[in-house]
Amino acid sequence: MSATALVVVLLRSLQLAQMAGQTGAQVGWKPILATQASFWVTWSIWAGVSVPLMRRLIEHPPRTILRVGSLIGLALLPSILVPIPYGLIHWLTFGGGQSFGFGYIHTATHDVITNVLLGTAIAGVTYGYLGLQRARHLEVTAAHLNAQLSKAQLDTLRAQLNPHFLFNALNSIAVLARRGQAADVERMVTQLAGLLRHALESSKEQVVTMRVELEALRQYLAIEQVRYRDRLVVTVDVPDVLLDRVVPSLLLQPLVENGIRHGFVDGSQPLHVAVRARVEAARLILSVVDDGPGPAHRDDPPEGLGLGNTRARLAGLYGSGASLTLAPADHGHGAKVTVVLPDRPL
Amino acid sequence: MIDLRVVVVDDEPLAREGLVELLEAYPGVTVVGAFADAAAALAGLERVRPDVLFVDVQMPGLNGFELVEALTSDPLPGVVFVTAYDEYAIRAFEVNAIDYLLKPVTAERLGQAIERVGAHVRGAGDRDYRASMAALLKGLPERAQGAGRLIVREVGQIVVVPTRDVDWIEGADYYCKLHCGAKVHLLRETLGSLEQRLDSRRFMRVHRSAIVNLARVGAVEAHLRGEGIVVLTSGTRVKVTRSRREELERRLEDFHDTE
Repeated sequence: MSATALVVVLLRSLQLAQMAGQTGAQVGWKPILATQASFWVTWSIWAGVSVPLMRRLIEHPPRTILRVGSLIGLALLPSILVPIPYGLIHWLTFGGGQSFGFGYIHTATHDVITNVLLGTAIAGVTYGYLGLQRARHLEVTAAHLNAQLSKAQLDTLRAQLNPHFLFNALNSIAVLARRGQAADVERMVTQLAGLLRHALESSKEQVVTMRVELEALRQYLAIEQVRYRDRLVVTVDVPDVLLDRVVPSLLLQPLVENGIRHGFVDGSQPLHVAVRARVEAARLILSVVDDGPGPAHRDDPPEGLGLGNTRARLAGLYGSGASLTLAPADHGHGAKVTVVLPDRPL
Repeated sequence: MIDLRVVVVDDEPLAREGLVELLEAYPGVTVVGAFADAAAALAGLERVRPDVLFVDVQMPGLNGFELVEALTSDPLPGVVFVTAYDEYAIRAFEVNAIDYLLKPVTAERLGQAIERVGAHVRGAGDRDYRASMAALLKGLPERAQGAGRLIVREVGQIVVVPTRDVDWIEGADYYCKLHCGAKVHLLRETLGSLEQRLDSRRFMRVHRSAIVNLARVGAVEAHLRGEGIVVLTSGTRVKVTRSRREELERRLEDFHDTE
């Protein structure tokens, strides 16, 4: 930019000195160079300054009227600013009776067309270039987010159809069938069907009402209850007023499943799991607490699922507006998973 | 007719009962015990001494593999692993010709397993069986990175020792001593065999009779004739063979504690 300006300054000065020579005017080369330099250097400085201003305008666009006004301002402002140093230098180098005001008005009016054209051109080119750049950036970000979302969806689906859970449930059904407990078989098959349907639908619908989510959780728990009987004690404590709140679908079931998988210490001690929900300061707070050995004793996450998947899903849906934390439970032993979401009624 | 005394180990009550029911329906099979976890099984096995063990792989506490690893009876009982879903383990079972059942368990498939394992129990070949079981346990994918914990049988109980808690291991003839702070556990295994199982990034054999946890090394001092002394953070001093000193220093530089 400055190199170009320098070349322009030298060429233009040379041209002016020649013109002056032809008209026979007595003008030194120094004033010509100085005024020309001030003119073009000011323009190049302006071009540099206007880029961040323009970028700001593009990245945080105000309302339409303000935006158009700002663009016109950026195009016309240099017509007022550029003559200032020009007039100043004109006054200093030519001296004599010409005041600063005279030099300023002279250049401002004499060069008005050049200045307006240059200002508009610079504003136009910067606006166009930066706008294009911004659009490309947005496009890439959107594509990236989309890819992330589909991966999360795929992972969720895989997590929902946790094969270990599925085959153990089917094994329970086979045992019940062999014993001729037809009613139990029917109930369990229906619950499993409900859960599978919810899982398949949740790969399309990202959010559901708490009511729907709790129904799926109950179906899951009913199956686990058949598998573990009195070794598993789960309480769900969600106030009725929260049933129409919006939550990510199949959020609770994997959290509870995680608690069950890590919570048992042996084959006989019962495990207590509590699911709770409350609203606090426009935040929906969900917690899953167990009285197992606690997070410090959790081995590597089996099957590569666990909480990371849920965390990624929350980030995809709410950005930084949601969080998931795993901590020791308040009562000393056991684990507590807390999910904080923006509180959104249906 | 076949005559087998079997034990079932599964933490899910319904699955356990279901398998017991299937087994009892099979002629010649007597179920002599059903346990809800590995610890209960290990305590009970001394008493019932079964011919065959049906073990669920996924259990809280010690899993099915760890239970079998902790078995000391001679001859080893026949083992049939039961799993709901575990593709890697299944490949390992097949490679090592160890019997397994998939849930839901069918009577037909159970019958095949009983016949096969019955033949093993009656036949000789115990040495081979022991070897293929050892190969199975060693080849399991979760152990490829080295054992995360060691199972030590002590009087009346099973102790699980996470390997990261081990400061150093002292080898004697046919056993080794796991030094964990003030505690010492005796493991019935040679130092060389244990070395094979441990995570080689964390543990290093510094001497014919010593393995150290690199995370617990406080300093390495020079000793006589080029030998070295490892000073552990606990203050314990362990001798380093001359030939291993250089390697030890290099590995200490590269070592990053990932815990």
